[in-house]
Amino acid sequence: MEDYFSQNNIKHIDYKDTDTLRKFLNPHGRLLSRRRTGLSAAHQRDVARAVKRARYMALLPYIVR
Amino acid sequence: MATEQSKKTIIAPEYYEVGYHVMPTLSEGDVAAEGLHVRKIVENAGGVVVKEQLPQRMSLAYTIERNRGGAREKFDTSHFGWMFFEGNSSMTENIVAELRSVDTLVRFLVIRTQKEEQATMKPRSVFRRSPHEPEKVPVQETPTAVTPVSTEEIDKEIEKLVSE
Repeated sequence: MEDYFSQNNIKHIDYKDTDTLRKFLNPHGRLLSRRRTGLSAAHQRDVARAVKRARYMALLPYIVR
Repeated sequence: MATEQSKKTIIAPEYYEVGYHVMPTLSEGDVAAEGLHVRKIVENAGGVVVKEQLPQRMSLAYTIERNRGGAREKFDTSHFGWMFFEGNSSMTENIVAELRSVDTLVRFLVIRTQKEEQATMKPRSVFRRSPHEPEKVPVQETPTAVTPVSTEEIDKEIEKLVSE
């Protein structure tokens, strides 16, 4: 079964692409589990890294109350 | 011989990206000049700029605070720009050191990345999709011995079938 990035032929997960990254966050801004995202292990790691970079650069919030 | 071979090995280019926030209080002209300043820092360090986006105004996801000369500054907006360049790890150390000294940059990030067209899917075929999925055992086909048949024998067989 292909995940979101394989289906859309996205080879590089960019930390600046916040619209895509938001798909993998819950309403509180926390990363969803792999069970919820359905991503491959490698893509889940790439998303986690990109989200952490985006948070540092204030493109995404650390937490939404 | 060995040295010749080592000379022939092609070193794959490394790609890096720098993203930066410029202070929102600067005028448009100053912001553009700041973008050019960052470009100059990268080029002076030996980096080759491949792609660039000059700083554009954006609202931040949270308030960035920083201490500047004993005064606490808060930023809710900034001008965000980025640059994609070819270089190596020693270059990035110099670039980071230079960017730290730029006062008008609120925050920056230098990361190693890859060219979009060069990005390839990592091979993961060594792992099975699910631990519950049965492992596929390759079926070995046994080669069947093929005996050569002459045309006369075939004709005889056809005649037999026709006569029946």
